[in-house]
Amino acid sequence: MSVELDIVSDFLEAYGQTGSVIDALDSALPKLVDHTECEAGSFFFGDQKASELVCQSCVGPVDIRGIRVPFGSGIVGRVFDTQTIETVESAESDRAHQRSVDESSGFVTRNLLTLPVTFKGSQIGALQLLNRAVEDGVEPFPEQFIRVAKALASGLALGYHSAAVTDQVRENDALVRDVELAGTVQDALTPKIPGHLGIAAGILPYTQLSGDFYDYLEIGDRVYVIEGDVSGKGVAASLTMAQAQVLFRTFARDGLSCHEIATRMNAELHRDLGVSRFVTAFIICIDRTLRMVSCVNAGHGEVLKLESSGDSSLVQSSSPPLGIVGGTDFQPVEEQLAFGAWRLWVVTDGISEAQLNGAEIGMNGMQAIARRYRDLSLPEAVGGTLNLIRDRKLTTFDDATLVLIDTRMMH
Amino acid sequence: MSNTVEVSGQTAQIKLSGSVDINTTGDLRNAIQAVPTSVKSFLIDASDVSYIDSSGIAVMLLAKQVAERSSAAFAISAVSPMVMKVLELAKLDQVFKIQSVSSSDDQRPASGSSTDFSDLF
Repeated sequence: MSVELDIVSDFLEAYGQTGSVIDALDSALPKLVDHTECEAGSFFFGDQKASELVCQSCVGPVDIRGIRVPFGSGIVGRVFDTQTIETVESAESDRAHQRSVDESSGFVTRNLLTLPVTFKGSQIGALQLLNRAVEDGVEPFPEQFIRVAKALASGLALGYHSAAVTDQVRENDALVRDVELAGTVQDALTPKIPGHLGIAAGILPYTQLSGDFYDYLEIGDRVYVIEGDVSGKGVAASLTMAQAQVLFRTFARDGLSCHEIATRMNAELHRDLGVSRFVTAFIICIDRTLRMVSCVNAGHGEVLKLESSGDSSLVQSSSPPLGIVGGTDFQPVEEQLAFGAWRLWVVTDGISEAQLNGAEIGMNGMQAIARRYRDLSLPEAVGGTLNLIRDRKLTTFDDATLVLIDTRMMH
Repeated sequence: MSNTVEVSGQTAQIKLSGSVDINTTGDLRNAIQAVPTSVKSFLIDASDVSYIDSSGIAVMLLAKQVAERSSAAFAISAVSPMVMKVLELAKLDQVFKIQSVSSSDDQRPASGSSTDFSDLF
């Protein structure tokens, strides 16, 4: 038992110092070969992508590192496949033995012990000991030698598993850092809207990265606003969100109409996104000279216009979301609203489809909220609405975004 | 409830059930993309869908695109009222050919029309 422990201990100590399974094996394999009185030893790693076994470590008269054997070929391939320990007393008489390897290396394989290296049934590779010096008719690899070799194979499996786990943790850490960074970038892209514009907005992301967004741009006497919701979630959705925001700013900066902005954004997104992603959008242009609000609803659901009298109406979607249909199939309708005593409640489905006591609130719920908060300032009304979700009075499983517009508050 | 794609002869039947969202559509997307190009007809049955989000809509659009690529026919044989509402709100009824709307919609959360919203405040 002490020999087994010594060899595995050497392997683990070298692995702990170098962090390299192969360096550790290079240190331990000669001791195993020496202890078992063999001429050579080798380890073949199973390269799953190439479906080949590749020699990564060896000891003996010939350096065979880098030699590749297809899965299922040779004795090593057979052991890798069957995951069964094999002792071959005469390599010459085993049909699976690959003589070409011996011929090219000049090494003559007489007998060999091959052990699978596995972790929880998952194939990692195979360990071989070759040419133990014994007389004819004597079992070349008695049980105590097999036990020592098995101990190193187990240590090797543990080392590979540990290395794989470490790699996974590193990748996960990198991914977490990327998501955090993307969240920071997203926060930076979410603007703070000056109070004098008569607009307030807020986002409550469901996960770290939101697929919802809003933005505004003040160009002379016009103020352009967008609220959007990208299909899907996560990093991919946040990249599409950033793309949509850049497109909005580009076309708004050119002073285009809402209809034209929506049409051009649709063309760009339809070309770039493919069918797997789309963006619902409500685009608004507030003209302070003409005292008119024009808007386009591209698949964004219903938008509530609540008059100070308590009457309400809805701005319906007039086209599919951006990015789904191309060319002349995309025909949004631009609506015109004269400045007046009303508020426009633009919400994403994280709010309109939120649930109260198990029932979706829908636009009836939105009207109740809008009426309840109609005497509050715009930021207070936005905050109060999002607090209904924060305080779990409303349950939602999506990002929740609200843009609130009141032309009476414009200065 | 599960979402399935079954190919029988030259027809691919896509059955959507329960909640069709980002958590349930990953394998479905792969299955739709793996439908052989020899298929001449894609049929989606969404009559048992209790909830659908934008990822679910994207899957329906993907099936339509895969059908168009192989010049196959595409139709939605039935949708639940919940799915129909989502499609109408987003004006996607302009994009999809829908054959019928099912009458049963038991799994859908009840409409808010009769809810007492005073509970909220």
